[in-house]
Amino acid sequence: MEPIKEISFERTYDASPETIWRAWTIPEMIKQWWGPDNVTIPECEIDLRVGGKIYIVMEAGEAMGPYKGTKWPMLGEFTVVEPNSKLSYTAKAWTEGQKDEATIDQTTELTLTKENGKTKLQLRAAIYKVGPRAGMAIQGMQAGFTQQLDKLNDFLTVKK
Amino acid sequence: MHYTLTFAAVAKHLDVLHRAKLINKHRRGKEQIVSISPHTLAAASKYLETYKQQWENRLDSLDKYLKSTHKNTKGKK
Repeated sequence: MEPIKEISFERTYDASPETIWRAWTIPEMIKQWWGPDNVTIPECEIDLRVGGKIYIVMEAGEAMGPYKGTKWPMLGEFTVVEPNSKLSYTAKAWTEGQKDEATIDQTTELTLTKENGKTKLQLRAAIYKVGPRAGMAIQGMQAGFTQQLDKLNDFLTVKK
Repeated sequence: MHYTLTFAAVAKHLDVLHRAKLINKHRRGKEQIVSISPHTLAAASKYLETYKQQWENRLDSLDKYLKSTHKNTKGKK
């Protein structure tokens, strides 16, 4: 099946592939960065093997105003698990209570490569199916992400 | 414009586009006027932009997290 849309990202991190791999595959660590500041991760389960489960629930916090308490689960299955180098999964993400209308089917592929003592991260996200109301869900999350980006900006400005 | 498709086939395609709200249909006498709906296209494009932004932000957040854990490890030395 052809994806509706594919997006690729490339970043270089000043950390080893091992550190990034752990940040991406250990629930306690995922909880610390996966969602924006105003979003918590009440549930996260990782069964790190091909065919194993990836389950991450994001929940809107107080600062998200009207979205407070909204949960956005993502449930999927790993298709590639090559420690410290490649991770791939297919998943469905939706807004709790609206699974029929607000589901996004996607695959995510992560590749880590060592480069000059740093790590190049390549991410490919492909969307296969979008429910008619998924747009609303993603906009709600965006409210939180924008606030987080502002905070990151403040953080970087203060550092200068 | 002449299409090799049958009238029924064209109608079927248009019906799919209409259900996706990508086109508007209205009648003018015997004719069925079909026009494109830029609003839906704009919404779809905005949706994908937001999805992309979400990943950008998540990757920023990962960077911030990696930096903070790095600092902590250094601090413990």
